Amino acid sequence: MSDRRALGGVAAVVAVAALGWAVTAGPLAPDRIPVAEEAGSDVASTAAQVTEAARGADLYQASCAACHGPGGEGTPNGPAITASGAAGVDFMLRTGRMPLPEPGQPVRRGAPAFDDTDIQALVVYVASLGQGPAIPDVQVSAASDTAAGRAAYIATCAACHGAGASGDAVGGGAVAPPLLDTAPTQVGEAIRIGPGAMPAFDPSQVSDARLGQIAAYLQFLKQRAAPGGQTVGGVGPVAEGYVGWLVYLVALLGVTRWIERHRRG
Amino acid sequence: MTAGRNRPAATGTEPALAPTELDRLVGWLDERTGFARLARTVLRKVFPDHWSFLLGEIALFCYVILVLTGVFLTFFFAADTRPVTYQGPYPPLKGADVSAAFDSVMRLSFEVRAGLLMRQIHHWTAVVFVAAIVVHVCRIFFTGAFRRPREINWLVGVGLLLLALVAGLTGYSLPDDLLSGTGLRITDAVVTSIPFIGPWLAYLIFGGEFPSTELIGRLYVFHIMLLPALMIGGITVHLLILWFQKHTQYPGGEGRLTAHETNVIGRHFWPGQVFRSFGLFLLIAAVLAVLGGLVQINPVWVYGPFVSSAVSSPAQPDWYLGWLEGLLRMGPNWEPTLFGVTIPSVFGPSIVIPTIVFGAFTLWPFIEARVSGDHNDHQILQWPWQAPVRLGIGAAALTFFIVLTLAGGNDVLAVYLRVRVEDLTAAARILAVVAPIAVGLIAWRLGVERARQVDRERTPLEELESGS
Ligand code: HEC
Ligand code: HEC
Repeated sequence: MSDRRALGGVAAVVAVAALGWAVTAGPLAPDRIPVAEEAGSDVASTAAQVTEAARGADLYQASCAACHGPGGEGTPNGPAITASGAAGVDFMLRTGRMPLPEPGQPVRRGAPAFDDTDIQALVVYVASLGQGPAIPDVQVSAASDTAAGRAAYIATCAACHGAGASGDAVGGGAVAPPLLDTAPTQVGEAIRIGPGAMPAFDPSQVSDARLGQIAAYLQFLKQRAAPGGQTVGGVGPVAEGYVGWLVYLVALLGVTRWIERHRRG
Repeated sequence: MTAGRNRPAATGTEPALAPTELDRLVGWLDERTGFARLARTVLRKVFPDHWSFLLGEIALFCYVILVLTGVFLTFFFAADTRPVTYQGPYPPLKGADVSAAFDSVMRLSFEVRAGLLMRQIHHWTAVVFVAAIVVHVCRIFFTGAFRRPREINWLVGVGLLLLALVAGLTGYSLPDDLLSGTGLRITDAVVTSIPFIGPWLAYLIFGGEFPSTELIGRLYVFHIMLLPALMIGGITVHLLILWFQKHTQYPGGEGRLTAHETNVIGRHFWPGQVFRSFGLFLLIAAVLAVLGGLVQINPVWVYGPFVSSAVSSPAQPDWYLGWLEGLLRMGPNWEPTLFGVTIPSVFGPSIVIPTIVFGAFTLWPFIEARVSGDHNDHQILQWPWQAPVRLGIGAAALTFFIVLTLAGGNDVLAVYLRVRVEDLTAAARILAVVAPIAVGLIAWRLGVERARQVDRERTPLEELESGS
């Protein structure tokens, strides 16, 4: 733990130094950044968007079209995604759910298959295929109200994901996954789009401000060292019972037999 | 009988040691009460040596640790459901409406020095306590230690097990958190399901409609007064009977001594047994303290205060009631109507089946004596294989409970095994019937084989000795 902090400290120092160099003498120094005309910069950004969308289109045709159809209209192997919007695509890609390796496989959380730029390109492209929810702006800071987040989380999410966000089975083979490793933006996206067996919540049910608060509470749960010591999976009495039996069988029966043998020797 | 008998005896050459004040006091007391004679019989009582005879002591010492840590907790716990605003140091609950009971548990966990440690030791010990009782009962059962003349102590033991279960349930519910509230809601449904008297009984126990403001106070009285008092009484009777009936011993003996129905081979109570037991107590306390200090249990701050509109999942009772939860989860949704009263579907799994199973368990010594026709006194135990039928039945019963307990955590298991909860429940329904029968038959068969093998290996000398 302290090792990691020390490493983080070193990294921070290095990063600040590098930034300092960049803005004074390096590539970000003011006199080196070309200043474009107003109109020109518009053209430039549109051009960038066009190339990004083109990249996205290529990626889409290569990795997604087989299941979702060349225009996102859907095939027997995958639903139409024209209404998924940026939020839906971003969520699916960043939580590694898409691309599905084989048709008919369960949709599971995993490591993302694309890097950040490719994801952005795909999001821009798929979002352009139709109308859908935009990526919500989920703000988490030290000042976030974790108390409000906790209250909202317990009221709306804990029944499936568990009070400690350790996840649980919700029936029909669906699993509400643990949420402690999910990034804030994906938490917000999940709330809005309702992936799989999860219901979607619109702003009248969970307001935009709540998104950040819920995400902040989840971060609190993850980051705060668990008071009381090592947690046993966060799944409550079931795991606690197994641990209790293990301790009884190994440690207590162990000392009992040891005492008896010791006396005889 | 004089005091100071352990000193070197006065001889002609050595001057006699003058009696000290303590010697005089002890002598004075002894002349008036004769306690030294009693003390000598007590100290010289013989206890047989076998690690399995310490299993009950593990449970006893867990109970002692529960009382010690429990007393500490009572200093800070408030058995009060009045609403207060949480103002403590745990940020996500700042300003939350909680009950005074929950608030006091939060204070115990975050503000009272060593409070969380004590809470965790207490809870872990409760978890281990029941496990210790179960293993102790298994020893008694499989070795036939409950046979005449020890049927009464079996009954006392069964009573103690039941008290431990109720103590566990009430304790689990005291923090008034979201998880235990779910448990109480189920308890309420179970009690209410009893035909005709259920609703009335639930009203009586809960002091009103669930969730009532009376409840925590009542549970508290049960948890810290009634149940511990009954348990101390039960333990005392349990040990006194054990004392006066002498301890059973395994067949065979030790060294050149052969165990008979009329002797007891082992160590004297003092110093052998006392030191061994005290050492065991300290080691158990150490293990549980380490467990309580290093491993989290029941993080109430994560569950938060009980809110009747919210639930958390997975929601289970502590393991020793997991089999009841399993029965509830496996039970069919079947609500027959009897004399115009609809019997809720929880009644069968949560009242009828446990009553039958526990009834048979309670009456086992009498059932076995009746069936086997063996009404003799027994001071010598049996090895489990010496009674194969009992071995089979016991193994079947344990298997039944294990399947039920696993079914009680079906949602947690489903995630780990990556299967559907519904499939697990269906499998558990079949396994609850098939697995006990299979395991019971296998155990019985193994017992029979073993008995035959031992018979064959018995040397003629041994047969001579056993008088056959
Ligand atoms: C092997 C087939 C397959 C491939 C390849 C695949 N998907 Fe999917 N996708 C599916 C299936 C099936 C679903 C439905 C999942 C469900 O029901 O939860 C889905 C769902 C989605 C959804 C959510 C649709 C909604 O609104 O419910 C999005 C967005 C999506 N996929 C995007 C992508 C993208 C982008 C790619 C390429 C990187 C991709 N998928 C590749 C099969 C596939
Ligand atoms: C009815 C049960 C249910 C409720 C209520 C629910 N979820 Fe979910 N949630 C699910 C299921 C099931 C999934 C998995 C979907 C999938 O993988 O297809 C999920 C997935 C998620 C994910 C994706 C996690 C990841 O990293 O892959 C997030 C984030 C999430 N939920 C957040 C929330 C939040 C926040 C709430 C409360 C506002 C909530 N959920 C309420 C059932 C639920």
